[in-house]
Amino acid sequence: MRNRTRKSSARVTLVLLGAAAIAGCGDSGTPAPEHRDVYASKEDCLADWRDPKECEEGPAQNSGGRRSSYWYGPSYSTGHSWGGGYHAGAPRPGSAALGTHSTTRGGFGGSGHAHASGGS
Amino acid sequence: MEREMRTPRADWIAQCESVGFSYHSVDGAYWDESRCYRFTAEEIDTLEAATAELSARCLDAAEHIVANGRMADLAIPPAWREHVAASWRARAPSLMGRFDLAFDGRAPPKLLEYNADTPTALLEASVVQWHWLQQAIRPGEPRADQFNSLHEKLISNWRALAVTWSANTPVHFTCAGDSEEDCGNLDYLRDVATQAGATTKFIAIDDVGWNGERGAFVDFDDVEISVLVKLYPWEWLAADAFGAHLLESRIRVIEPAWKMLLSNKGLLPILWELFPEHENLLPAAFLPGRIDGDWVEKPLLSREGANVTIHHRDATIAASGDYGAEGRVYQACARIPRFGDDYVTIGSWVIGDEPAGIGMREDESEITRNTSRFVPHYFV
Repeated sequence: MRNRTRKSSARVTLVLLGAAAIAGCGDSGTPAPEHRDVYASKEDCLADWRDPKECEEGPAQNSGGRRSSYWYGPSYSTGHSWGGGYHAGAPRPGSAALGTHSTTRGGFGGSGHAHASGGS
Repeated sequence: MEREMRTPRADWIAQCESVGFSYHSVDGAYWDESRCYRFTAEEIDTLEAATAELSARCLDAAEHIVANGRMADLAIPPAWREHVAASWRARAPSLMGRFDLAFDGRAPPKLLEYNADTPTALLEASVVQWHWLQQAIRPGEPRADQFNSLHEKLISNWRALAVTWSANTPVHFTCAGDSEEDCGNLDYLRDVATQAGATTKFIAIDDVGWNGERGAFVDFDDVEISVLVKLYPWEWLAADAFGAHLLESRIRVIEPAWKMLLSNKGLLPILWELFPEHENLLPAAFLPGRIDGDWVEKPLLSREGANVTIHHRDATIAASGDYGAEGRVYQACARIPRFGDDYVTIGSWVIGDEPAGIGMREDESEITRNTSRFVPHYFV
């Protein structure tokens, strides 16, 4: 064989596969809290949660030519007591929250259930 | 191009499993090193050149489909067409694809199909056959080489991709989670991304969350999914309940949406229209009755040979499955090389836009399925 450029990898090393070092495919972990309270202002959020680190500004929205934004409190699970006994659902009695928003899951995967593999 | 019968390494199972290739014997026999294929350097050059040529022509076809409003021919849903076109116009980065070729070492390689969206058999092509080369071939033939720089090119391309998003952005990897092969391929993609410096995280496709107020997909820790690497076909994503959210979110998906143009078998007649008589293409049409001689019927959206039917003059060979509702294409029947009782096809990879290596699949049928055996190769 005449001198040619090598066409195979010089080295093949792995850092995750073959070791027990990763939470690999099929191990997603435990679901996170699914609810967050929404506030009209940072002050309203702080009134409920007290700690500025718990309040996050949401993306700005345009409505009728006006720019506005909402503030989000921390995430928590349904029925889970958090920061003084708050629960998911409509704004809690005495809370300044406008409402509670949720993360939904299970909206992907339906098409795959009929097939053994998504690969080709 | 010759087939050699060989004695498998005594510890081949342990060797496979040491690199995370746990599905080596799925369905009885999948990894098969009782034989291998030996090529000449000139034959490998031919495969490499054909792969580069086909990659370039497929990009031409994507431009043609977008510019000429051909997505209806591919049964891409109307609501998705602008999204796909925008993804193409932005040249959203692609990581990889695999051309399936018929090649006997003499006539030019012919394109059977392009697995542009969710190609698998990557771990075995990139890692397992590389180790086989070092252990089984090089002790006797030190100058033997392999058409397989997949690992190097994957890491290099991941480095290039990672600079296009902000540092510390986690890259999420997803698949259906109940296919061992898909998991093995996805975990390998995570491995090379990690080696390129990415922070990676797995989430099963069913567990992906949608937060409407944030307008974002989120993981189990409620962290926004900004970059999603998937082994879950685009047409399934689009059909799922969350599909429409993809049109309104900021998420970046790898492979990008424009790969819907190339992973669809409607690509084949469009390529033939654009490049008639091209030496690496087979005649193909959207309508039956346009192909002279033996012909193959393929659903627009089938995977791993499902619902493919080969019509020979004196026999019909059909693979089962539940694809085909969106429509079909018709392609001239390629001569698939046969060694003993086995037909062999070649999966030729592009990483980025570069040819990067091959994997060989053997089957007693002319139709390559997910159960077709993976056979290693080398060249001298």
